[in-house]
Amino acid sequence: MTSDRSEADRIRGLETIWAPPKGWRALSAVNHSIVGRRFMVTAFAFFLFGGVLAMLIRAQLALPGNAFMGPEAYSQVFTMHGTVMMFLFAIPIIEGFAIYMLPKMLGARDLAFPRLSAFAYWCYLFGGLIVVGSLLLGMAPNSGWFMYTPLSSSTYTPGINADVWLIGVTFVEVSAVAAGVEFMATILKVRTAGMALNRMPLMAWYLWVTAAMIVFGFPPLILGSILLEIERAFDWPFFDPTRGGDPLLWQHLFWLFGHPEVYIIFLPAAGIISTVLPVLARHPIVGYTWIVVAVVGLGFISFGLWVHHMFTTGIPNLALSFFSAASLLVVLPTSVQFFAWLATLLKGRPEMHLPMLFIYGFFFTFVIGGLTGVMVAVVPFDWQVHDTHFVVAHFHYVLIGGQIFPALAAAYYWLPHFTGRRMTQTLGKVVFWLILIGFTLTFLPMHLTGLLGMPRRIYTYAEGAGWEALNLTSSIGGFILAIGFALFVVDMLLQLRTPGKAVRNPWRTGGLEWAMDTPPPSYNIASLPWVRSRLPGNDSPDLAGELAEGRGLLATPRNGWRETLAVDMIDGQPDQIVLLPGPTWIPLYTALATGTFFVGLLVKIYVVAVLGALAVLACGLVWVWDSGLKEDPERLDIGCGATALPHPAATMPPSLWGLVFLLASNGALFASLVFGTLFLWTVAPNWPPPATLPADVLSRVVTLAGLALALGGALRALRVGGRGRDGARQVWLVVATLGGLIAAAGFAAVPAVLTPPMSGHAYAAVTAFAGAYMAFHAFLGAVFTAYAFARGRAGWLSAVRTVEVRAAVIWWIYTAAAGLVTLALIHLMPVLAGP
Amino acid sequence: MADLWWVMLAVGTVILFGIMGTALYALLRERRGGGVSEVAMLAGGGVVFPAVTLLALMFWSVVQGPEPATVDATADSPAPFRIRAQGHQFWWEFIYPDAPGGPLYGAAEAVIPAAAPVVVEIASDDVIHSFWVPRLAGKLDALPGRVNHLRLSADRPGLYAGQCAEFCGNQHLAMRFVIEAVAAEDIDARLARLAATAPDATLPGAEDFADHCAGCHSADPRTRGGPGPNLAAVATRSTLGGVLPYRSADDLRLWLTSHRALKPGSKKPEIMADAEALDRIIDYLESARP
Amino acid sequence: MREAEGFGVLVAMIAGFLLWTSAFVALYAVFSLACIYDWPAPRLFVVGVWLVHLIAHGALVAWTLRWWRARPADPADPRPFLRLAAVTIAIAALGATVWTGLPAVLSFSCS
Repeated sequence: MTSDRSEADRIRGLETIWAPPKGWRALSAVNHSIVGRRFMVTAFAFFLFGGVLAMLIRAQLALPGNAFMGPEAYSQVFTMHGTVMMFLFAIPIIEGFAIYMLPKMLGARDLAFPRLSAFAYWCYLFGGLIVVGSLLLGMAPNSGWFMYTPLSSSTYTPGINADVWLIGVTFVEVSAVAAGVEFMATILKVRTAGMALNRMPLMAWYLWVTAAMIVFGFPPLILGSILLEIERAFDWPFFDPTRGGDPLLWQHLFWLFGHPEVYIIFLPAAGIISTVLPVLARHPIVGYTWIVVAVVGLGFISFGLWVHHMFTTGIPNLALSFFSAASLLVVLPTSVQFFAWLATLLKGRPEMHLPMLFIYGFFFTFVIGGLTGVMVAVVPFDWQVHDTHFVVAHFHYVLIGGQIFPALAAAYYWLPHFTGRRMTQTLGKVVFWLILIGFTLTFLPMHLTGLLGMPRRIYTYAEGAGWEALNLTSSIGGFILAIGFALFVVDMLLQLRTPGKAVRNPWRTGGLEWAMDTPPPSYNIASLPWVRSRLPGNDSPDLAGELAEGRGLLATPRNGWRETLAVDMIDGQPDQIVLLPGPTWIPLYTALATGTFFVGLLVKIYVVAVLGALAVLACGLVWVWDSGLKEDPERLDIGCGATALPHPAATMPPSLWGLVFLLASNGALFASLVFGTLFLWTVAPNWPPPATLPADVLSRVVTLAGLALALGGALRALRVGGRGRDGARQVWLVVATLGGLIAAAGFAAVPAVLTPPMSGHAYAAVTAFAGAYMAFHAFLGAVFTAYAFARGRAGWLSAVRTVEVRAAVIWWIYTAAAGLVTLALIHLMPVLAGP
Repeated sequence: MADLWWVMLAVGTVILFGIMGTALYALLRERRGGGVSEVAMLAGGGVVFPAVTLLALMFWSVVQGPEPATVDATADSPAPFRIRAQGHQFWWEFIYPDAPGGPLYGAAEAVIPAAAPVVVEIASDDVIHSFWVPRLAGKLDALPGRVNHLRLSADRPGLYAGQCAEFCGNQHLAMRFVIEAVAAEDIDARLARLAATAPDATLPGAEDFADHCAGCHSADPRTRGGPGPNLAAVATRSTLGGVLPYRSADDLRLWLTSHRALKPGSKKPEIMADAEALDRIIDYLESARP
Repeated sequence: MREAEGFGVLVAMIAGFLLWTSAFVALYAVFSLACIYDWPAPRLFVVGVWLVHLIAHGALVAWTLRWWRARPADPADPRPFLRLAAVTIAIAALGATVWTGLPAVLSFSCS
């Protein structure tokens, strides 16, 4: 890097540019290290809270006939234990880890959308506080963490309890989907130069698949929660069998999310094993390609097993064996990874450091969980053990074995990276044995408790049932486990506070995250490496030193910009300089507005909810307004003789990929809606409906014309704008906006002309919902084109700066396609399957 | 079923020890294994071995598995014994639709013929419950809006304990029930006895029952009654409300006066009868005791 | 348009499992609808859907193999890895579709 400024100047420049604000303004920070840390600390706090709930459960079940908790308290406690652990710990801890570590592993200075990560954090925090706060008020959800209707309907759970779950969890899921979209775009684009797909660290593959699973797997539950909340609040009978709804629809939507969820939790943990194990085995991972294939396969197949949670609902035998086969199939990609790990161990010279101890703990526990998983995939066996403590034991083996042990390995493995100091392993070994012994004592006997017939979720049991000794053992084990985690907290606090010998890269690995100062500075690396292998640190003896001295890319700060690279997604050639935002309050404000919307729904003061939604829209417009450039940029020097364009002038900046993935997620929600509609038409009781939508040709033609005008207008605007005809572009954007409004009006009219009314039959409810969904999207599409129009007027658009128009085009391609499907669905189904 | 469990347990244990053994062996200083073939490990261990094992399990479990538990109601050729199990928050109602002389209604305890095919029609009017008698069959859910059919057969006469297996609210626990299997040739006599078991309508308590209880409960085995369980044969049952052992009239009194504390969350309203009326109601219900 | 091309390569890499997804959804839909609506010869539909997918899988394996054979020799190039992954995924997905279809094809019944 040729620069006339001294090294100290450059470093000082980077520090000023990337410095997070201090004091109360720290809340406006968007740096990934800070947001990631907040995520992890918050998630761990929720973990401890969920752990206390687990202790309450074990205290209650320790003795037969125990009167420690009454049934209502017990229902709330076990529902909250599951909810907190799954939604407020297991997923967010992964998000926090990825936000913190992913850019460091990819050789980037931050994630693609720093403000989005901050927004995701605030959504998570607020949603989590709503959920947890309800327990302190004694109004916590109490229908079990999978919230089966009709138990969770307003008839059988009249209070606010179920609403807290539906709204709080959806709030948290918004956060998860935001993070998923961000990870997908980041891994695809925001890597350092030379990091072709075959050189990505395996962790990036794992996290990409995990993110994609979040993006496609969460929408079914988000849809289910919205439908159930509408049913509870406005009496639209989606799940009420007396009016054409079906409680099984909820189970399908829940488990369409719920089963992939298990693998969403497991995959990053397996990624940790694939990262840490080869380092400590002193041998590169065996079977990189095999593992990538296995992880991709797992991502797909895990979406094909959800019905195995519904084996006892009386579904046809063929469906039983179909999903049983798929449930067995999913073992294969997991076993490929296990044998890759075993082969790496055999070929290497494993060193038994503390992280390795936890990896062995993972082997022992997760294999047992996997084997019992195979057992419950076998239908006749499942009919006996389903909803007994055998299943409780099984999934704690899978979840604690499959996530907590790897997470603890990760905590100790990356601790020196976090502190910059050598760590002590003595206390950690005690932690390991306490947790392993406590865990085994708690959950191994529980298999037997279940085989002896003890169902889940009973608040006590009678003496003489034969379960006393087993339950007491489990409770004692539970407390040993709790002591183990308490000691882990103590160990972490000690290690963070005790001064020790500074050390860089104590495990002697070539992983990119170790080629930086530790603890990492706010900008991660003073200059970005041009990598040539999977472990760049092994290629040059002092990579970290070279990068710190600025012998890499983007070494010299310019214009006060926060810069990182975006690359060609396949071969890793640099193609854009991504200009990242600095500290801003807008993510917090947007999250507060979102929170206002959700709280308005929760307390059923809908004026507040509407105001909140408008505030979200306003915040969103402010959010996007201040990114971009007013002038057409030149190609800029990035170092090593290479140049790249700033992202506002690129054809596909990361933000547009983000939009594509967001729409993919939205498409999964829409597909769930289509599935739900077809499901109700074909299998729900009390169909067909008494009356269907009137065959009104005019409204269909108008709606179609609106869609065509909007999409066509946006496409034309992009085309003429690309030729520099700014005036024509503005005209087409106006046309597109009008088209969007016409289409929105056409879809919004659907609920108005329905008979019976929405509360009369599930047909009307689901049709009205589809119409409202499309009206909302067409309206937002009009906002997109109007926004592009405003940007054009203000001079942000040119022949090369076309991002806003492209975004509108992408939005309208989705909306027009979904609109056609919706029109077909609501007008053809009554003809095909109607009365 | 039991065979299936033991075989899966044995094979699973071998796999667990194989994996842990290999991982621990790798820690030895003096050892072989450094030259192990990657393809053999990944393709052989990771794909072929589990695929063969799981395919074997898949075929074997289909062969070993019991008769499909869910049956088409129309495909019952040898006219099995029909009984309806209706889940309620928080008790099980049992109905004998084909009993001689018309349908019979009961609750919490049911009778079926032993060594004969039985089809349980499982349904619910409120939330989802699950019908489970561990020693007779796997569980099958009671879903509102649907009727599920469970085919089962008790090998020999005896008492078989059952319970609700799907969380259905705070008193999920209390949804315990008993299935009594009697010799097949005695089933008609048992049903006739059930039909004849009812409180003595000439007792003064009959009137108090009509005043205070009949809004929800029927005391006639031939009448279904309101939302509460049929009480014609309550005196013959071994538990009250699924939570209190029932041995004498005192237990019934305790139940009627403090069921709110004994079964918190139950839908049963407080009883407004005064002490004398309560005594008469208890006498009346107890009169059905054989 | 390099971006679209790159994304196309990624899609080609996972094409096998996209096909499996199609097979899974089609099988589930067809055997459910065939039984609900009493289609004539329902088993024929199921086997047909399965076979059509198996043929497509076979074609995909052949195509990815050809693609892989035409890979550049440069060890620094990501294409050999991507194409090998594509072949492996195509074969794995073929196996997955065979496996998934087995119960529906071998023990078809509407009860």
